[in-house]
Amino acid sequence: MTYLIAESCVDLMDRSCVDVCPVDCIYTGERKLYINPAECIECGACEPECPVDSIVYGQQASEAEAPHIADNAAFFYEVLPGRDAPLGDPGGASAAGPVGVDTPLVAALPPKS
Amino acid sequence: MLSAQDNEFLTRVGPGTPMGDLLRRYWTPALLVSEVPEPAGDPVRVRLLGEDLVAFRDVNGRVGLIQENCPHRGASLFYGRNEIGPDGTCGLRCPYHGWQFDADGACIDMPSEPPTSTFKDRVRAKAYPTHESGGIVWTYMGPSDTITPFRDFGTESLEPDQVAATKLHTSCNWMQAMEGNMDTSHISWLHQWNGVDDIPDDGSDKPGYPSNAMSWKFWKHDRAPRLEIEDTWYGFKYVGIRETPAGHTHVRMSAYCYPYHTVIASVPFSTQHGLFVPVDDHNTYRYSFSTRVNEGLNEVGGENLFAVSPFEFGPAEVGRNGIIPRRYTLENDYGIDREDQRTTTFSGVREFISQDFMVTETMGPIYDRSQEHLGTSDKAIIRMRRLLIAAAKRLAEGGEPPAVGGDLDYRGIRSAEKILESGEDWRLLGTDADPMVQRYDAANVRTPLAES
Repeated sequence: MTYLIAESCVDLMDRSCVDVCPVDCIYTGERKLYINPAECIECGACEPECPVDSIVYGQQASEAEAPHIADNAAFFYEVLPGRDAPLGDPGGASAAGPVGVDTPLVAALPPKS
Repeated sequence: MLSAQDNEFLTRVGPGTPMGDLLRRYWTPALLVSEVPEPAGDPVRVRLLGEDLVAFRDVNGRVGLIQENCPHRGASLFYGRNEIGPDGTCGLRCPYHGWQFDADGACIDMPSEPPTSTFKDRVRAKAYPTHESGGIVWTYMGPSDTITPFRDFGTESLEPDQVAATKLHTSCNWMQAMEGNMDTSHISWLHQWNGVDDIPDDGSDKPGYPSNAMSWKFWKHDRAPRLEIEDTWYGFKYVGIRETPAGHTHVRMSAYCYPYHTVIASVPFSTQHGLFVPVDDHNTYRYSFSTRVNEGLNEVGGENLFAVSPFEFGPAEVGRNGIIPRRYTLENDYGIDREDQRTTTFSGVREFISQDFMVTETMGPIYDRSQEHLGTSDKAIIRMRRLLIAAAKRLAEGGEPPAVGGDLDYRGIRSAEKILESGEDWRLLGTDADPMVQRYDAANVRTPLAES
């Protein structure tokens, strides 16, 4: 079970984690970042970089964080709003570019000031 | 990377540490049988998981493993007399005042106290049970009420002349030593040499089993293997996947078994175990032992892998049993020859195993893993750490250690190395369903058993 990004990333997207990821598996949505569970190698480099402790190892996810295990996966394997196919495993976030859309769960969250 | 906290959790193994508690639930090599060959022979100092012990084979031939310091006033029992005691007993007698302890730690004689004294019945030395198998004296250092069955990796049925067990000291933390051993990627770098290109192509770069000599070429040809991991009941197995010069898919599959066993890839499969047993937090004994003799197996890969290389090998083979002395250490910079490094070999270090020690020991006694930068080739190491940390946490929370059951088939843990056929699943390699295993390891094949 890989790392995931939970709710505190929403409307913040500090992106420090992106710079340290050796496999470039942290993708940018509209309001939040997502970790591709197939591409993550579980190295743990991103976890201490997050200024709001939003990155957690799947097995250690709290009850509040747990829905984001499936939601990080959904970002890649479900068809996101306005798209006609799942993202899948693009093999690198910088080549894929910002995706510009979020999962329904994240999109429905109220804006954070 | 690991946080400083997780790094401590993973690496520290002394009494009372979570990882030390986990390791103490497994039967562990304490020393080689060849170190205590004769009844009433010389005692041997054993430092294990940070505890100072003394081993001795008593007059009756039983191996005792007890605390080194005499319970009386602490003199080292290493200097003790291994001899007969009163009333048919025997054990180690302290040279200071003559107190004597048997292999179970019972005080069998206390001649410096009045004959009417019953004090000896209330004094005990800490003692751990022992079991000899495969040339190794194993011990169990956990709580006696949670003693686990001895795990038979195949050594229980070895004939005396088939026993082969060695050990080798390395001055770094056990995880570092084991990570180096499990890392499939470094064989394409650290252990490479220029002459690989001159090895004649014998035509075995095709689906099936290549010669050992050709394996060198594959490792040099594709120096950035892709790793795939499969969790199993004993830990995990994983492959480094490389493309061969002819465009085929070559896999090296190694196995990790809790808590510190590795079975490293070999053509066509292997059941040779490496164990990385902590002496203490800064020192490790690297044990290697055979679990069976499979007649004819060597014919598959042909000439030994190392026979074609220019490397030196340690004077390990004291009849294939014994302590391997270290000729190359940090003090002589592992014998590095800079001219060799420029012209002949990648490392410049002539002895194969010292190439490994050069990189793992110089990381420091316990490497600070908060400083590392892991890549895709480190996936297996990452998994190994995760499994161990999770297992130690579960145990601390009242759970059971993994892979200790008496009904598990420890002989079924195998590695493999092969060029895959089109569509072939590497996960079947080395299992009881693998035709090579059925052919060469038939005595250890069970009828279908859950693989993972």
